[in-house]
Amino acid sequence: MSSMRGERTLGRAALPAASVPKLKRSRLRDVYRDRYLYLFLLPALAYFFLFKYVTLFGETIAFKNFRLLDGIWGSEWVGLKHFRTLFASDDFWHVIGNTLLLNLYHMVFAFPAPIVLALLLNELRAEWFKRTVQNLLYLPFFISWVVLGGIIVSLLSPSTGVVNALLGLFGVEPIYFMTSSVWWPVVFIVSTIWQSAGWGTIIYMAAMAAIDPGLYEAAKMDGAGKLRQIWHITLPGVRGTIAVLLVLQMGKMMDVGFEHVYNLQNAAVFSVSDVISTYVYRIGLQNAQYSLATAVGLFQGVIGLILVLIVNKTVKKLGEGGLW
Amino acid sequence: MSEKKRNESKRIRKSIMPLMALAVLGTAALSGCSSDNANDKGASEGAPSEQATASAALPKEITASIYDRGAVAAGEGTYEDNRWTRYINEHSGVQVNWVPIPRNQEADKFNVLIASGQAPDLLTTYNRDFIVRWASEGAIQPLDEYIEKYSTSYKAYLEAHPELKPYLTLEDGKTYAIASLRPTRANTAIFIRQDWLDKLGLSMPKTVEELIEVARAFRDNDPDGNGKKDTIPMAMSTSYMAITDDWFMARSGEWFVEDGKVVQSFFTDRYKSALEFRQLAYKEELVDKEFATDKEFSRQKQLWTTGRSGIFFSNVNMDNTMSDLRKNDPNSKLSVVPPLETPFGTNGYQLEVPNHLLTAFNKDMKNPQAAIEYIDWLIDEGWEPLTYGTQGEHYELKGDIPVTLDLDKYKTEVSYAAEYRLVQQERMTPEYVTARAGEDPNDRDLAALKSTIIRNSETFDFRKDFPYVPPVAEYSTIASQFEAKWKEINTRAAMTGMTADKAIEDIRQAWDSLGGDQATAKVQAWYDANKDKLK
Repeated sequence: MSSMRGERTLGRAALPAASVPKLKRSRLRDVYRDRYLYLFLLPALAYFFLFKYVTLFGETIAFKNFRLLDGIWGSEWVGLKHFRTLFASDDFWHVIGNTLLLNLYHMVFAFPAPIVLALLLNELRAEWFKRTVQNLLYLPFFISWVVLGGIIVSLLSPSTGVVNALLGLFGVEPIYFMTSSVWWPVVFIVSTIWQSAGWGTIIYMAAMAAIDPGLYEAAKMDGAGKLRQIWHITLPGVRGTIAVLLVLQMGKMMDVGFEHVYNLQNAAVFSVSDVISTYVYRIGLQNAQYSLATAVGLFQGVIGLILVLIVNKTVKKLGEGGLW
Repeated sequence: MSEKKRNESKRIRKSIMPLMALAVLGTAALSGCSSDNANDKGASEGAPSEQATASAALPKEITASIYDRGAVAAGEGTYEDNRWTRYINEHSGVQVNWVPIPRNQEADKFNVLIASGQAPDLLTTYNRDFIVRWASEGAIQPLDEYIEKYSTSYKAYLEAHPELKPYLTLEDGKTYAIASLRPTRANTAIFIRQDWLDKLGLSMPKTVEELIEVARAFRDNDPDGNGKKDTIPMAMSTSYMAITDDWFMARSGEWFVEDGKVVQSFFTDRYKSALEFRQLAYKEELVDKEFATDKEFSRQKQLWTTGRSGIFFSNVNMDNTMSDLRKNDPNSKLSVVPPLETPFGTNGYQLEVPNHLLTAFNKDMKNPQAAIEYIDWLIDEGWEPLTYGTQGEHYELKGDIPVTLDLDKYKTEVSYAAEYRLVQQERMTPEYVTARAGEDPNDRDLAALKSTIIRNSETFDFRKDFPYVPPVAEYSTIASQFEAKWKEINTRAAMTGMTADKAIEDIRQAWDSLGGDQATAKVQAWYDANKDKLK
């Protein structure tokens, strides 16, 4: 069975895999065999090495009193002073709270959205319709938040916005969505879904396309309705993809995109909309407290890493393949 | 078969080698680039005198920052390259390369430029805090020696205007910035539709209470005569909060001295009145309800220029907005609201600090002599064409005063040039402003308004206990976080039924949680040590 599959995927009819003893196939031979693939990887590896690992050296200013005059090397060490300041400040915890809350909403509402959409799209029979809808759905992903922010503000304006005009038809008083601490998170999540759901469907639809159609036929013959088929075949089929994307999303638990929040934020809703990224922007870039801002960023990165490790392990324990 | 395979693999191996080498070289080159930048910092020292002899031989080229207000029309070019940058390069003897800084993002733009080692030679800002911070970070250098050694005209100017000195020197007694006097110290102003006042038979308000009455009348009595009650009486700008605070001598975020004790404006008993005014304005629909999302105040400006508002909280140099209103409604007549009385007295409108733009020298500047030459040329003669334009084309001389020929042409071709005047000698007196306006009755009206504003600024006192922000580190580190907080509390207080007392309590809590008591103590100490210098 395995050798047959081996022949089909490798396309080398000459040597059945069984005749080459596994012990002799050293790592080096594998690398050499795939040398061109590794060559392709080289620029990407170099990029990551230079811009993600070498720059980690700059994170050391979180433990120093960074002064431009002294540079990164010359600034004096202060140990955990900045972290102590952060943990003692109410602001910091409030900001973390906001970040976690918004990400929780994201997890509950925005994470399943592409899955649901993909399921719906998967059921479409007319290819041309499926394609058109899919293309239209992922267009918002490419629009910058600067533009989207302006559009959303106009749409939701109590006096000139479409949404409130529609609400008015039902006799509802105009609601100032953007300045209400109750509605702002809703606007944030809905705009997240609108912008990113279409993009997510691409991944899920690819996973769904890989499910053996024979399974669907078998289920239909056994008398399963559409919903049953989805529940028992499609969803389990994309379990692996969901698991991987879940791990990735968990890594972003401490991270809410700066552009998105900054463009929707205003003075009336700082208490719910101030997140780690805007906080770092304010104290780091605007107030030039580079060390403090780096400490926040470092904290964010470490927590994200821990979360990814935990969730990955959990997911693997549950039987799915994790990220690694 | 194995023979063929071996030859094939040999060939592939041969072509791999150069590819691999290329990849490795590429990586090495990139890593070389990045480590270069890290080594660069801290390398340049060299005492000014060494630089002096060296700079005489250097090409006369400098880089300078300039505020980007989006005012350069596409036909004129860009902030880096337009008729005035070319004029400067031709006539000053110095090549200046300009780095635009968006006006309302100067904080982060400057910080990013400085931190990445890309800051221009001349750093220009209105904000003295930046100069203080840059000096403490070691990003800028003292200028006393350069002015002494190389400058002629500016040196003389500085000696003639010693009142500038305290704003240019820092705690260590050295001069860190170059600046000239502001053309006028007037800044904020309230414009009002005189034609609406006349139509409704109202007189010009003299107290804040009367202003509220007038606003209510505008709201209810349909002053624009279109049969709809759609007037939003007061239009705002960044000056709204400033002016409403200034009425009660309690400008948000400023330090005041009450009985010898320093205190943040929020905790004086006058601040409550400012909060209450803004709350009332919102509740009674005297202002647009959507100001919170109107971050650039563009909607507010629109309300004014389309004639939906009758009272505009703004600034003295709003020529373009005023002429837009004129175009939309040629029958509009404007007046300036005089300083208004409150139970606490009558405070004049904001009186700006005497200095205009502050220009600091980058520590790594290669040719300070060229920079000084540029400054000298500017203060001597260079500032004039940048202010008035070209004689015969944009203005003609009536006596001593240049009179603008065509305001529209001036607006497109010359108005943005004023930004390039790091130093200037323009003196905006009421007579000067009126004479500049020329014959066009609209221009003369606008000039009359400006004259009134300037005259007010010279007649009425403006209470400002601290001429500049006390350079106390404990305060600077919390200032911007505190600002975000009190801005939010202010907006919320204006928009909800929160009592003013509760709002002030919230501000007090925010202040305390940021370590405000410590900051206050340090500012008090600084004040006690320096209060004589502040007079």
